[in-house]
Formats: sequence, structure tokens, C-alpha cells
Amino acid sequence: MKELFVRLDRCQGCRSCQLACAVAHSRSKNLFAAISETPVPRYRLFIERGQGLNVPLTCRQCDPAPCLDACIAGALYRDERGVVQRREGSCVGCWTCIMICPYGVVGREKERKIAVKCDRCPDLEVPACVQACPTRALIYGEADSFGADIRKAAAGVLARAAE
Amino acid sequence: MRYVIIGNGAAGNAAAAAIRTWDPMGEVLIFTDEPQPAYYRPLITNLIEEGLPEDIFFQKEPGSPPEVDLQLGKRIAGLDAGLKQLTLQDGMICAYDRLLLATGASAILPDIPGWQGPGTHVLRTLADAQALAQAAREGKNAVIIGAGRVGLKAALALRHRGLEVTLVEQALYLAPVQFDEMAGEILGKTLEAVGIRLIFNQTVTAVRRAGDRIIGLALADGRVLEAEVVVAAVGTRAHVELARKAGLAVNQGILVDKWLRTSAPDIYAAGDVVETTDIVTGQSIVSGLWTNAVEMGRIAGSNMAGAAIEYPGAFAVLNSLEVAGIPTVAMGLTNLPAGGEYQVYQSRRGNNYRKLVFQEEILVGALLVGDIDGAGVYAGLIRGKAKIRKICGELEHPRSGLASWLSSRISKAERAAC
Amino acid sequence: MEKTTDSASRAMLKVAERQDLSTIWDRFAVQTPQCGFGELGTCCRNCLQGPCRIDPFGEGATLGACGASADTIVARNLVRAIAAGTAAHSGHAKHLAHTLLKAATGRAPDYPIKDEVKLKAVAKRLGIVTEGKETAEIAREVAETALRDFSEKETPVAWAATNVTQGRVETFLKYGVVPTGIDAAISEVMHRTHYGVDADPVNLLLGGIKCALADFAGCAMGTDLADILFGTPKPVVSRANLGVLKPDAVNIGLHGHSPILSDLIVQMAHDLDGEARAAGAAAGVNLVGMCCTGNEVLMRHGIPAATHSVSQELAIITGALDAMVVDYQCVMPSLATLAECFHTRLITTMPISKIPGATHIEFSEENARQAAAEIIRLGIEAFKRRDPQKVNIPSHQSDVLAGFSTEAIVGALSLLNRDDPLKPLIDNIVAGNILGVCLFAGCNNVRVTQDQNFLTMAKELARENVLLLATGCGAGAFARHGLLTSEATTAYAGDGLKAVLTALGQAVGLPGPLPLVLHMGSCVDNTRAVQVAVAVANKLGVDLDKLPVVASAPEATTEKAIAIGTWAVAAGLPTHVGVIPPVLGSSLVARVLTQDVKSLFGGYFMVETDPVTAARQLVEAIRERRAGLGI
Repeated sequence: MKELFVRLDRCQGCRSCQLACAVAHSRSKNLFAAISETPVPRYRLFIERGQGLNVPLTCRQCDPAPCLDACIAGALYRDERGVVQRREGSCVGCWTCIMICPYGVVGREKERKIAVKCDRCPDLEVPACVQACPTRALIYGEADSFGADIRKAAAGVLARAAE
Repeated sequence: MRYVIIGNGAAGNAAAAAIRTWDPMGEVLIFTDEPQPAYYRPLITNLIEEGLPEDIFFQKEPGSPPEVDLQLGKRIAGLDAGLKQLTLQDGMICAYDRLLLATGASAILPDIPGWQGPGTHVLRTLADAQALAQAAREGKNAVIIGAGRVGLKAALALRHRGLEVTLVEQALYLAPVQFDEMAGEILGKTLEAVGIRLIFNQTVTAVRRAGDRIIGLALADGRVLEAEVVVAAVGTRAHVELARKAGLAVNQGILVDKWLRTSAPDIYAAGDVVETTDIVTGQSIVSGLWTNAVEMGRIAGSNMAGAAIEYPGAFAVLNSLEVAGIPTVAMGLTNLPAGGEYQVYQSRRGNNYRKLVFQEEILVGALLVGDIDGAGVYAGLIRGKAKIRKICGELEHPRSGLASWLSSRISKAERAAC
Repeated sequence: MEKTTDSASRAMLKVAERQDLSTIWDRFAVQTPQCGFGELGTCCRNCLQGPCRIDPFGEGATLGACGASADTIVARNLVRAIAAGTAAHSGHAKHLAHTLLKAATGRAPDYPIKDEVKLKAVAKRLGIVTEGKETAEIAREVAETALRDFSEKETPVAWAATNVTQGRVETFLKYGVVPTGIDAAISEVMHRTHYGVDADPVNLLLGGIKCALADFAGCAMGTDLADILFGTPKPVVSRANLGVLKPDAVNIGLHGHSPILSDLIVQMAHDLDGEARAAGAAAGVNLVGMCCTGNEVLMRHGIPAATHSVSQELAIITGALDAMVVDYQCVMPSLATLAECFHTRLITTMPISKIPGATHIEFSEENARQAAAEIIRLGIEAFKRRDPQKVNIPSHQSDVLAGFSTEAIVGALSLLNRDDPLKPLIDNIVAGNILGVCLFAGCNNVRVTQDQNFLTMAKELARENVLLLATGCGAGAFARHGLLTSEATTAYAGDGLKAVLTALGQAVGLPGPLPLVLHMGSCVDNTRAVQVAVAVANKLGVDLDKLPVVASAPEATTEKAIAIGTWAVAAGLPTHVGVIPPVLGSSLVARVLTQDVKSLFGGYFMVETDPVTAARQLVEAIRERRAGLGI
């Protein structure tokens, strides 16, 4: 299963990912039209300022998922890709999932009183946030290859240090 | 391998799903004394407002494991832990290899004169909710005893239906387990603004009847409240009888070890019937929370099928409730016990209130009224016993605090290697 | 999306791909997706407490740190863009004003006054007495009036006030948008958009209109002074597109904006034909134009146009451009890097406009001919290093009939009616043979398939009998695609338009009708079109905002284009823009620009990216004006 990885040193805090996420979850799929839709499209990832770093907080599609366990209305389920999805029409807006998500990445849509979370853009090959990131701080790939890239880079650092 | 589960609620079903994951070939039976299939108990208050929602019942997932054998309307009369056998009320015997007691709890009935008879309700099962919905169609005045989370939900639902609603609570403010005085004050005002009458520091001493009909409720201070519909929401009691009669170790709930095993071999327990540990205080608690039940069920079921997952303990308080448009979240220690060193961080802006409770380095409780954005961060930090006291100022905004905490834990070398 | 509709550009893009040369299209692809906050205009970098962004979805920041709303931020950014455009045209105009002053006072022997008739006409319009004065004296007074128009004074900018109708002057006074100095207006915009000054979006936009009117003045001044110094354009035949490069000549590209440089090179070029031939270029020196300076020398000297705007790099990729000499504006820095892959010498000439990697030869009015010769000689030198293997001159070139200054158009009309030249124009408009007039202006934009919007709209409008005028790289687009020809009229014009252009063509002695689009010159020469409109308006006794005249910048790119578009709106023209400007982050600003401004100035912006729809909307706007006039 492909994962969403974050390279913290690359994040510029430009929030292009947030705009792209909202637009991808709008009806019009166009920034200029999306901003006047009702309900207002919501982005599902968040950029926060840590200590000297910008930290994108995204849904980790945890397994087991605290949100999935916590949902008292059976409105969350895991799809074939392993992504935790909201079932249309089942959410009652109790916010238990918001209370339980350790990353704080479940949101509230006030217009329809339902919870909103990352669905990993099921209609796109690559999630909208990843496509939008101008510094490629967000990576969509298999854990193995991402790990391999880190190992290579670390090996390079070590080798240079040894010289 | 035959796995038998008593109880078709959150814990029972989570266990069944977990067993299937670990042992797809095993036989799984669920016994329940209820006449209908599994449903989302927390949603039953919706019946009072809307009628029966279809999705109150558990949905079948695409690709979910093969059917379990669900036996509806079956009461268990006895358990023989030595012979590994159940005796059902209708006389049938059922042998098991592994047994899960997920028998849940039932609502406590107030022990006051006049309670028996029509017009008094509790709110625990689907049948309870249907009866209350019926009564709400006919009655004009409702009194709810106990302003805890069930009482509040019932009060709001009945008020929404158009009844005159009075809440009687023996503590000094609402939901005294979850909320503190300030939260209680904010929410109390909100409830009064929608027309719910609140009476604190009182108990109901009797139900006055004329024949079968309720004509009033007597309070300790002598007042009598008009009522046709009375709901008691004064707590639940775990169904430990079966276990106690079978000789298992039992206290307020069934006693279990950290793998959710009872004192009898091959018997596990999960959900509202279990006495477990509060992950914040370490004290024994019986949890009545759906989330805890699901987690326990999943772990117990996995362990029954060969895993060895430790259950870390439950949040005694872990509640999300929207009161007349104001979201609230309470978790961990929100009301401070006497003794013990706690540092409290509070902030209030109009109707937005936030309280964070620290014990030395770690976060042990969070109470939010109004803005609950990102609240789960606090749950994660409490559960993980993260040492975050130093950045408590930044925890006003949970995600921002999380980002601070995460970034402080990343070493420079890690950053460079990326 | 296709990059271009131009066959020569397409051919060169294939060459670029083969040789792994990066062009604006490649760099733009790497830039996408571009920042949504920038696209919406809701990013503010005016102070060190920023950069601030407004969350268009309302969850994050809804105000800048200082409290500026999206409306304020968008308006501030827009008027700063207008100021930048105004500064560019102002720079162009004041350079000409200084040159005229030097010419008048004997300090620029290389710049004699070529058109005394124009000089006197301009002087008269400015209220300068010409009887009994020497040419040099009149020129001095005009130059001094021009220079005064830039700074602090208490009278309106002369080149704005004297170039519009009285009705416009009154409207501008009513809304407080009369600039008193061109540079003063620019400076005022920079002040009011500074941290903590003007936060009222409508007030800011009115300030932007005032600055745009200063831009109008700068443009009109540029046109007038260039005509005085270099001659007023007359109809001229030439060619356009990369095929004008010659394999056997020293090809020198003239790029940028000012005829102060380009006209001199034109004058010197053939003096050095002998040296070119000696270097092996049998056809001598071949000058080709690019962008607005190319338009200036096309209009006055028939110098062929190589290419324009977004495809400017492709001229170098032909491998046959021996030198490109540039002054200021619209010159891509990438030209230097590209030139290094070839033998091409990129030569900058202005102290404020240098490019790393280019050769700088400082060009001033005092040393003009000498510098021009030096520049041409560098081209001849470079020719010797031309690599024949890398030469790929596409064969595409189109015929061009250009040179339609106001004077030329009125001159043509006077052949139909000597005493009242505007009458045939007005009669045909009233009769409906000419539905209305559309002025095409502006640039190419890399996000639009090159020339696609221009060509589609022109053909749609011509079919509806709209008379088409064009300037700048817009005219360049039409030039390269053969729309500046009689054949294009025959192919695309509606019957009424065709009849009028045929009559005019006959009158001027052409074998066919006048071209489908009348090339009026460079971007500053948009003011020529305004002159015609003002004349018609005055004759009809109405104001400009009643005329069935519209404008369109279908592929706009520069801040200059924003400035010109804004003064077109202020002048009362429905003005179409074919790309989305960065204003949608404020629904208030968007509404003011497209709706509210109509009730103040009569003109308004129309933003529409689809060319067919845009053409239809312009026709509707023209019809609405006709209805208002009762025709």
C-alpha cells in the first residue's frame, strides 16, 4: 500500500497542499469557482509551525485506526486500498473521531454537521496534496522505496563525513 | 476451534472481527438476549427525535470476513468453566474452546417508591428507546434524573420533540464526571437558553402515582415536579452475575489481566462488563464507553485467536457531546481529586473554554467547550504519557502543540539524512 | 495544451527539443502548479511582518497581520501592478522627451526632427504658440512641457488632458482621478499601498485608475515624440515571421521598445552592408524586429518582424541570428543563456537594463551613430562564427501591410471624402456595414496556446463586421499569421466590412481591400486608436463611453498591459482580458472591475478565457452601445 511520507526539512509552509486538497474535494475542481461553493470545500491536512520546522500533519490511515474504533455510528470503514473512509449519510456529527485522532486531523464540516477526513483522493492517481507541493516535501510511495532513499542519503552523509 | 461470544454489542462484534482476522477458519458463535441484530447503542437517542434510522444497525463491509453464527434472543442460564460449557435458558448446551464474556451492563433503576409501573424509563437498549419515543408522543412534561451524558442526550432529544424538560442532578453542575464548574456553568446557560429547566443539588425521593398514572415527582426539598415521562440516567451496573455464579473473580466488573483474560482458563472478557485500569490514574474502573469497548473487544478477540496484545487500560472519561450547538470534549482527569500535585492551564473566551491538566511533566486531562478542533492530539499525548509540560503554552492549539513536540524530538542528524 | 499555433514557432520548438534547449514553455511547466494565493491575489509581501496569505476557504487566516482584508490586499497588489506598467511607459516616454530636448538644443546631432508637421500639431494641441517660431524653439517647448508632465505640479498631466474628450475630463475630475504628474501618480500609488496607508479597496482602485491615466499620458507622449523624431508612419509593405531571416545575410534582431535605439540601427545598417559582404554575407545586413521596437521600425521603415513575445527565444534557436540588440521591457533574461548555445551576440544598451551573460554597449543619444555602428559590427563579427550545421530557418513568413497611424487612416478616409474624412467612417458605422470597432492589444501569454485567442476572436469579430485595429505583440500575432493582408479580408470579413475595406483599398490604390486588421503600431501607439475614437466622439457630440468601440487583450502578460487595460476602461471602453488576472481572491474587487466601474466610467473589464465566448460578449457590448446611440 502506498503511504504518504513527509520530508519535514522541505516544507516551506506555503499551504499549496491545503488549497489543492480543498479544490480536489470541491464540486467544480477549480480554485476560482471552489472558493464560492456551499458548503465551502474543506482541506483535510494541516500545516503547523513546530520548533524551527514546518510540520504538515496528514491522516496516517492508521491500522488499527482510533477513529474507526471510536465511531459510534459506524460511519467509518477501511476500503480496499487500506484507506479509512467516511460512509456517506452515516455520520451523525458526534465528533468522537475528532476527540480520538492523535494527529488532530479530523475536521468538522459545520454546514452538514459531519466529520471530514483525508480520503487519499480515490479518484486521482496521486493525491492532490502531493501533486501540489512545490518542494516535494510530500511523497507518495511504498514504504520500502522511501526507506531505501533515506538509507542512500544517510550513507552518502556518512561517507562524506568519513573522508 | 470454536469461539463463543456472549454479547452482540461493541465489544462482542469487535472481538468477532479480530478473531476472523487471526483465525479465518475458526467457528465463531455470538449469543445475545436481544431480539434484533447488532446496533450502535449511542445512536438510540435518535429514535426519540426521528424514528428508527436504518443505519443504526451494523453494516456489512465489502470483503468482510465470513458470517458468524448469530443467535438472537438467547439468554445464558449458566456457565461451567471446568467443563467449558454454556447452558442456555431453553436448555440447550453449548461447548466452547474459547469464550468471551461481553455481556455489557444495564441501567441502574432508582430505588425509590413508585418507580415500578408505566411512565418510568431508562435508556440503554433499542427497546428502551422505542418505549421512550412512544411515551414522548403522548407526554407533555418530562423529568430526567441525572444530568450525565445519557441524561443530557435524553433531555436534548425530548426538548427537541417539544416536551417541557426538567433535569434533576444531585451534583452542583452538569455532567459532574466529565465537566468542571466552569464548563457546567457555560453549558447550563446553553441548556436554559433552549428551555430546559435545571435543578441541581437535589435528589428525587419518590414517584407519586394515581393508580398507574404518574402525577408527580417528589424532590428531597419537598417540591413536587409535574411529569408524565420520567427517565432515570443514574448510571449502569455491569452484568457480572453469570461470571460470579461460575466462580470467576469479580468486583464491580469482571476482573481481567492485561491480556483481558479472566481468572478462568480460556475465558476472556471485554467491554462494559470488565473492570479495568484507568490509564491516567491507575485506579480500577468499569468503563461504559463505546470506544473502550471496541478496543477491548479487538484485543480480547485477537488474543483468543493466538495474539498476545496487551490492553493498556481505558480512559475513565472520554466523551464528546454537542450540547445545543456547542461541541464539548472531555478526556482523562477533568475534575481534580483531592491530594496529588496537578497544574491546571485554563483559558476562556466567551463560550469557548479550555482546561488542560498536567501532573508533573505529563498531560493527564483535557476539557474543551466550544472549539474542539484537533482535540484528539490531547488524547494521544495523554495515552502516550508524553512529557510535554514545557510546551504547555503551545498546547492551546492542539495541532500546533503537536508540531512543537514532534519537531523537538527530531534530531538534527535525522533531518540531514532526509 | 498545444504551445503555439504558429508554424514557425512549432518548427523551432522541435529544434529546441532535439538540442535540449529550454524555453519559456519548459520553465513554465516546472513552475506549475503555481501558488493559489498568488493566483487569487491574496498574498501580501508589503512589509516585514509578512508574507501574509488569506485562506480563500475561510478556515485559516482571513486577515493579514495588520488587519488587511482580502479586498485590501488584492486591490493594493493590482494598483502596484498598474504603477509598474506606468513606470515602464513613463521611462520610455521620458527617454524620448530628453532626446527631443537634446535635439532641440543641439546636443543630439544624430536625432534631427523628422516630422515638423507633427511637431506643430502636437504643440498646438498642447496650447503652445507655433507662429513665428523656429522648429528648434517649438521642439524645445514641447520637450519641456513633456518633461514637466512627469513631476509635481498643480495642473493636470497635459498628455492626458489634451488627448481625451471634454466629457472624459469632466468624468475624471468628478471621481478625482486626474493625475497632475506621471511620476507623481506612480509615486502616489507606491505611497498609498505602503504598509498602513490606504486600506479602502475602492479608493485604492480609483488611485489605480488615476495612475493608469498617467500611463495613458506616457503612452501618448511616447507616440507623439517618436513621430516627431522619427517620422509619422505611413502605410508600408513588409513581411513577418522567422522566415524573414536570411541565410546569406548578417541577421540582427532589434528587441525591446525604444526607437531611440532601433531607428538609429536601421539608419546605420546599410552603411555597413559592404563590411557585411566582406565578411561573407552576400546579402549584407538584414535587420529584423521583435516586440514593440520591431513594431516601431516596421511602421516607419518596413523592417520585417521576426517574432514576438512568448516566442522571442525561438529567433536565436534558428541559429541564424548573429546579434540581438535590446533596450528595455519584455526582454527575457533567458536570451543570454540561449545565445551562449549559439554564436549569437546578445547586446544590452541601457544602463538600467543589463543581463548577466550579455555584452553591454552603452548607448546614448550623444554617441548614437557610433554605438550603432559598433553594435552592427559585433553582429558582422559574430556572423563569421555562425555554425551552418545549426542553422534552421523555417520557411514561414507572411506578407504584411502596416503603418496605419491615425494620420494614415484619416488620410485614407479623406480619399473617400476630402472635406470630412470621418464621415465615411461614421456613415458606415451608422449603416451597420461596420458594426463597431475592436482594438486588439497586448502580449502572448505562455498559458495560452500562442496566438490562438487573437486569431479566433479576430475571425469571429470580422465575420460580424467589426473593424479590427491592433498594436504591439497582438499586431505581431496577426502579422505572423497573414491577417495583415487583403487576402485575409477576402477570406474572413463579413460583407459590410469587406465592402468598406475594399472601397478604402481602392482609394489608396491597393490591388485589393485594406487588410483585415489595421496595424496601428507599438503598445504606446494604442493611443493612436484613442485619437481616432476621440475624433469620432467629438464629431458625433457624444463621449467615448457611448461609442461602439471595444478593446481586447486576449493573451495579456505584462503589468503594462494591466495599466493599458485600466485606462481603456477609464476611457469608457468595454475591455476584454483573455487570461484571469490575480483579483478573484476578492469578490468586491472583481465586482468593481467588471460591474460597478461601468456606472462610473462607462467602460468595464470582461474576463473570459474562451475566445469564441469572448468574441460573442464583445459583439453584445458593441450592440449595446449601438442601441444606446439609436443605431
